[in-house]
Amino acid sequence: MEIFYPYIFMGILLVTWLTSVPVMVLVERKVSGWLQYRVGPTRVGPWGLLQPIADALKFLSKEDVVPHHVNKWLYIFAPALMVFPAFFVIGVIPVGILTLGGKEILVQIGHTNIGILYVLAVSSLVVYSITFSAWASNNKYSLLGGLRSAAQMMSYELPMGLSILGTIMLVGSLRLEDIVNFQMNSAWGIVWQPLGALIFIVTAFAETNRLPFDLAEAEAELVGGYHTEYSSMKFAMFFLGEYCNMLTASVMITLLFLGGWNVPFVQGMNLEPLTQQVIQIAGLALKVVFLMFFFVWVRWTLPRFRYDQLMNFGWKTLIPLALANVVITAIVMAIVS
Amino acid sequence: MIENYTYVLMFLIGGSAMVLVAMVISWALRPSKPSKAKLTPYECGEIPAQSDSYFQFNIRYYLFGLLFVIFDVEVILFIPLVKVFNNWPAVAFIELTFFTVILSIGLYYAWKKGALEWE
Amino acid sequence: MGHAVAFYVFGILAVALALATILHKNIFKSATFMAGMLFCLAALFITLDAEFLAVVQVLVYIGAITMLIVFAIMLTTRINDETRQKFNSQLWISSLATLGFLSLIISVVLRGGWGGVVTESGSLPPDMLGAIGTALLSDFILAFDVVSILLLVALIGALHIAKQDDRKLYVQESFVDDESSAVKNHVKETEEMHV
Repeated sequence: MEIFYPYIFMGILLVTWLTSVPVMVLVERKVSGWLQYRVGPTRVGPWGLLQPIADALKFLSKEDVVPHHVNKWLYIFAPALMVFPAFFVIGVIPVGILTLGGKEILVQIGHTNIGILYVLAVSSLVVYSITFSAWASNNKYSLLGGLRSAAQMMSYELPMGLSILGTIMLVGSLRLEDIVNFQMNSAWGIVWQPLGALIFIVTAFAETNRLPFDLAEAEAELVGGYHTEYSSMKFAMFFLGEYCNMLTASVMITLLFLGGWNVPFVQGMNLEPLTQQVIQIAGLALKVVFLMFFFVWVRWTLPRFRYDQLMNFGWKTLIPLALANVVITAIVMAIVS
Repeated sequence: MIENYTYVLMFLIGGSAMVLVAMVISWALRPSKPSKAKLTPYECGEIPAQSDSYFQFNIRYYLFGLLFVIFDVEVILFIPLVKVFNNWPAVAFIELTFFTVILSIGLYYAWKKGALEWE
Repeated sequence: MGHAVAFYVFGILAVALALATILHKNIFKSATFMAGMLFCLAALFITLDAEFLAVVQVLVYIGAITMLIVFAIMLTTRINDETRQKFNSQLWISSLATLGFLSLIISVVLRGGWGGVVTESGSLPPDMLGAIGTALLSDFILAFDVVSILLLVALIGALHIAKQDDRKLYVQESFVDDESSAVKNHVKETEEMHV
């Protein structure tokens, strides 16, 4: 039975991630409506609940225009490259522990010793999708958007990498499950590393190209940015990849700084192990849902950066802060020990 | 060890297969009526001035790329160090501080040189 | 078994992509192939249980250096010029040198004795990254310090060269009175830069 667990987890995680995308699109539209004192989509189904299905059908049935001037192979390959890293990352993310057949089993597809670094490395590959789509489109707006976004993602990868160093230092392991266990036995990561958590969340916004960091597709100046020339399902691929990455980023924030599947007080309630673990997984899901809502909330609250402000903020504020965070953590840890 | 990555690869293939199925369904359903206007570069209705839109890019992107390479190597070198921090707190602390100070000098130099300026 | 299959699949793919990198006419696509080749190398590291090395390969070589090359390609004006010559007069000398180096490597590999090289105890340490960290803090502590200085030197040198070029171009453009000669100079210089 045990050999089938990875396959079962594969199915569960794939379904979770893929169904969350249409739900998220609906939530985004509804919440943005409410935030702007509108009602959002209402036409399809009660309260517009069937809107995602209508969106999917529309994507499926629209004409796919491949303009003459594009570089065909790269043009087709770029959207796929957006989806690959998204799936590649999900493969090492643990979402909980289950006691099955008397054994504790980590709900994770592939176990790795370098979890957090793996996530960082693979999610940095998204920049290739953006550069390729921009270059292959052979369109001024796409090129501008793509290059901007490439420089932005590179700049914000550094503070992201630096901000997790403090957590690694505390835990002494790169494995995400060890980091969660550490938080279970003491306090949540945000208590240990408030500055690190703040920097990580900010850079997560930048890495997923969400407002206020969505300079890549600043629609007011660049039409649509790197996906200007894409239509139909290829455009949907970019959408899918972006929302999958957003969900992954939310899960990563939860695992690193919000206690992962740790639910306060549930350990003292003397529940059956399996019940307790299911509650914990539900707790993780709840935290992730809150973070996703936070992503939407920020999007409709903050205005977009100007590009020079964005680069200045990354290099002159976030990187020195992240370096300071590493040194401060090192000082405190050296004194304590 | 390698089995774990095999699972990850299988997950990737499975996920991509689902996406591919969606692509094939779309290919079967969608119409295809290309016209001359549809196939021109999208520039909000203007007729593009040149056939090719490649232009020489700002050297600033290259500069930031250079800075990124160096700091990326720094982050990577930090990782094994912070992992064993608890075993060797004193030595690791000195090394970490030394490394950070040296690279802060680099960052400061770049800052004063105006390389971090985006004009 | 799994190791062997993975090794041959990714090894052959890596060689094919490396050949594509040097033989393709379009330099942007060459860079794409190079990124793919480096990814295959990362996969080969995974088959050797060297996870950290694989991740470093992805982060530094694919995420940083190849992106830097892509930016450099974007600086040129003749990305799509596929008619330009791919090889210069040193083709034969360099291929001879490469073949010589290749035969040297093959002869070393065929001589064997690799079993003892990997580890002395015959098995990998369970915590590889920890072992690297410990080594950096004990045996290689001087090397680690030197690396930090080296990075600083690289940073200062790179900035010095890149920023200097920027200024020279600016001075030439703005202080030459005759407009046409300024344009000519500029064109000539950019052409020189890309030769």
